[in-house]
Amino acid sequence: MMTKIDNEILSRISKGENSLFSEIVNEFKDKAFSLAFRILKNAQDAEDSLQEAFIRLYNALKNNSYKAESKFSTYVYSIVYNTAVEFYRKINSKSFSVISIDITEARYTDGDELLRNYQDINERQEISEIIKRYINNIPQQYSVILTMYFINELTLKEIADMLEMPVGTVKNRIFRAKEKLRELLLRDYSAEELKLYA
Amino acid sequence: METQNNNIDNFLESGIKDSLNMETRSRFTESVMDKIQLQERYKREEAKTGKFVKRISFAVISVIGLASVIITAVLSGAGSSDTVDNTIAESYNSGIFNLFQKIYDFLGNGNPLLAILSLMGFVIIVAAYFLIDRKIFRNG
Repeated sequence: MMTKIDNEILSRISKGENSLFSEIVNEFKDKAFSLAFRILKNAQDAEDSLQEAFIRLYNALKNNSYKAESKFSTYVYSIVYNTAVEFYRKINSKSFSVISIDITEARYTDGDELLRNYQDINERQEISEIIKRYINNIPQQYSVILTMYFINELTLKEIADMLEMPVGTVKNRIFRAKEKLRELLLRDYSAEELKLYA
Repeated sequence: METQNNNIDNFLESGIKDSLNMETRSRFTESVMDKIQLQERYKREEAKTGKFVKRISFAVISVIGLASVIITAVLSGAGSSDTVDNTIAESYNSGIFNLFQKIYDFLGNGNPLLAILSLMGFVIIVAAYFLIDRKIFRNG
């Protein structure tokens, strides 16, 4: 991932140039918000958790806790993830785990409700609406991993390390989520039609 | 066929990305920076207060220590006096005299090496205190 944040900026922040931290916030805020939102499922909670995450990141940089052993972006997203999970526990009084809560297929295999009432919208828009609904309805165990992979641009290994699960499981969830979406769309659209929009 | 599948795959991935992508409110960065500034100000205030409290504690402990030494010397001086003093003032005077006599003996007539070591120890303790204090203040 290309990032404007380099070691020079990090070093200057740790030496006291606090205002430079806003560059880090600007660089990561939206992608990090996408991740926090997928965990907390509420924009306000996600923003609160993200603010807390950035303050933790700032303190970590001031204390020279970041050792450049991992990519800086991975470090940022791991703080964002852990903070959001803590918020989730506080808000819901239960633990959040992308591993322990298993997915009942029925929760999202039936996509019929996602495919209705689109007659008035053009087809491309219709498809993107279906995808949006699908993403908003799949369990967090999938959407969090998809966000880490597609939005935060973390590698399968980085995601597996962060979530403490095997790389194979991460890969499998990404594959299954994509396949399910493909199946869903192919119910109403032919491959030819989809190809047209691709 | 494979190309077609790849195209659909790319289309699905781009659709997933669009759906997952979200944006924070417009003043999010400012809000974070305000909180950080507030935290920094609070830390500075806390460090100042901490330093003040530490100095006061040091002063109080020093006064108590010094007073203990003086009182001990006064009482021991009063007890060991050849003459029996009945008044508190006389007892105090003789105690103070004994205290200074002991200091004089220690520095002048006692073991000079022990005296030098004691003085150096005292200087090191004071220097260490100020060094640690400054470090904590700066980090705080």
